[in-house]
Amino acid sequence: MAVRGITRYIEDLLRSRRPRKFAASEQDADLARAAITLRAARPGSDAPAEEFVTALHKRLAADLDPVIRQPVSARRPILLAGTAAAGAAVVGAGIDHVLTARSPAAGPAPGAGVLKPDHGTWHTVLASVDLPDGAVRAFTAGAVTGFVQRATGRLHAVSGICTHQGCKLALAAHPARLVCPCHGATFALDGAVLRHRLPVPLTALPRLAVREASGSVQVYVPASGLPPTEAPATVRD
Amino acid sequence: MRLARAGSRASKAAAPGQDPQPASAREPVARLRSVGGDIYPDWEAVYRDNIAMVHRLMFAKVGNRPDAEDLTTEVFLAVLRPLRLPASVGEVRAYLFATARTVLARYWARTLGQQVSTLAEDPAEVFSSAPPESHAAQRAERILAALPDRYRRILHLRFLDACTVAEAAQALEISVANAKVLQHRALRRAAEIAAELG
Repeated sequence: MAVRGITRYIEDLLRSRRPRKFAASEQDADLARAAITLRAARPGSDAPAEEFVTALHKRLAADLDPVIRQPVSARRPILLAGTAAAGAAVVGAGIDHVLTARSPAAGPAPGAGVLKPDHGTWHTVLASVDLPDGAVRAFTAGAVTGFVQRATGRLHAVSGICTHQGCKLALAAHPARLVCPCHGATFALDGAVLRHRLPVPLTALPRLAVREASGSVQVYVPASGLPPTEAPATVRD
Repeated sequence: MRLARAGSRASKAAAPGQDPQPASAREPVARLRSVGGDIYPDWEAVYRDNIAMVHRLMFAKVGNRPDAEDLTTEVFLAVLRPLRLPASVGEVRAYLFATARTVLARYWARTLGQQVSTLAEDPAEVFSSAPPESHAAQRAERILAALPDRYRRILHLRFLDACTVAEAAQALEISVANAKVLQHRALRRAAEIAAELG
């Protein structure tokens, strides 16, 4: 029974799950200790998830400052922005309709479908010579972190943030892939979801536009700081 | 595989230390760790400055995120309510550390009934050491380096490279059943080496 307990305990650690309790012997404790030491050394796995830091902050605020209301959460900017955009689209359509009814010569309607200039910038992330063919490198460019790869002469870059809860992905070998330290989701270097054990569907990692200019590798970071879902089509040098 | 980190890490150092505003929730945690003075004016400053460190500490001791998060929560809930602020950074950290030690001991008592890991480190060292992950990583490296080749490879594949047992078996060109046996033996040997290292 004890053997089963420790075996399951170690498997839980490896799968980034909460290990189940069992009555451990001293030998079990030795094995658990060694397993924890090795598991804790997995690259990038010990930093707290942003989601957790935000949630605990909120909980403490509620606990400690019962009078002061927290400002409407900044932790869901994407969802809020999405809702606002959807609202704006509806309003825009309404105005468009009114304008069209009154003066057919009115200019393009605001709102849905309008191309907005994106004041993003190209960030140099490393020198070209540091990215030989077949290599993968982590990079940080402003608020964006990700991985850039040169495969058969072509450059690819993807966001390095898990699409589940925003944990920072770690690069793993054999074969090269990106692994989430939080819940074990695994992505290919092109951003595709390889596997996960989450009860919700997981989206692929956003790809980033990447180019090579005067001996450096550069990644396009949109002004919003969030990687676009697809590489911007209207980017110029 | 070792990663060369490209791009700048300078943004961390550039973070203003004395910012009294509650940090935007989207700010990366690492930027929030430095504090200008030696005094914490309010609980938010205590939280911002220590959340990453306490989490890292707990993760190194329990090796899994759900438990590390629960223990970190327990520490901050226990520490912040009775804390009288402003207080010096040293005092607050000593209190955080002592609480973390108790919380961890209680955790092991109720889960495995064995004190698998303890907070025996010097608190001053823990909070000041620059790359916080280095200690755990170095220890793991030393244990792995002392292992025979195949033992080292199976443990590296499973624990550090996040391979499934099937993937590890394939990489080592053995059956899944053999990989399981190899992993168990390798871990037993690793535990012995860890004990020898002290």
